[in-house]
Amino acid sequence: MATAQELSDFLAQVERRAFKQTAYAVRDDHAALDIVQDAMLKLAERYGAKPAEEFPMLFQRILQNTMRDFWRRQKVRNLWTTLLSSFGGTGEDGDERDPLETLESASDDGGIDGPQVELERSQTIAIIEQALQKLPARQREAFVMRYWEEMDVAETAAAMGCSQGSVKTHCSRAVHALAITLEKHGLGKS
Amino acid sequence: MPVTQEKDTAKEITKVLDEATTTLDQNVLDRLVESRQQAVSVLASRASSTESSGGALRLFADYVHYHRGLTTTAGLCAAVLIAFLATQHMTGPGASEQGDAFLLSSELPPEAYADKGFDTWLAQNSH
Repeated sequence: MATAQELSDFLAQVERRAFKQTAYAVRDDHAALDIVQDAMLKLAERYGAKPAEEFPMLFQRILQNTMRDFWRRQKVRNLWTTLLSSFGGTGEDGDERDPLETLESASDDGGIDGPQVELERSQTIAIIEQALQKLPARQREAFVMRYWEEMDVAETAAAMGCSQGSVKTHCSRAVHALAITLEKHGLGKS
Repeated sequence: MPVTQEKDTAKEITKVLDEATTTLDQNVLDRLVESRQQAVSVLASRASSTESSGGALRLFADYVHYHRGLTTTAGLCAAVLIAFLATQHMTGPGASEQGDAFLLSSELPPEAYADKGFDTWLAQNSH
């Protein structure tokens, strides 16, 4: 059984990446924080008896499932919102904003007091984050687990509940799509 | 795209993504720390309850839960073994003794049952 210290160390190591990964998927920071918190608690409650070495795969699996639960709830909520708004007229302006616009404006803010390098860096981050958000969910999951979380193909396949071949295909397509986006913005390899 | 090039590209992208995690908002960081502490306290309370009340039973239950495949196989093997023993018990020496007693107490001599044509003769003459 893992100790509290081992769990704490593991979560401290992955929490930032987990948050960003979730935010790319759900495009809402508050929802992303809730999902990460939920995943952390589920890991402690249900899998605390497991050895710490199994935490990365288990946590990723829980995180992906919690994200899917969020999407399901969101779908139902959207259905009700659509139904109710058809009775109640138009909603307030500004409620429906494009998360990509938020990212763009956020990246623009960095240029005020930072040097040119800092501006370019934040723009590169914004471009990659947008490209990652645009990827199909399964490709994004595979890419994040395989390359960002540095899980091997077998672990990624187990966490995603698919074959190792599918993981390789998803990863390859994801990297290919990201590389194309980078090239479009002049950030690709020469 | 070759695999090595794919890995290089992925590495460069993840490097940028790692940079993005270093510039998170303080509110986000605070919330993450809070969530982590909650999770850790859940595990700590779970561990202390395991030690204090019914520790052995809980450990056994956990063992069974996490080795479901093994315990299911063991259960099936045990069921097959019990079924085999029960069959043996019913068709064993006791049953053959009962069969012998029936033959000896029957009106017909035991040789009659061993005769190949006896069943046919019995069927023809029973009407």
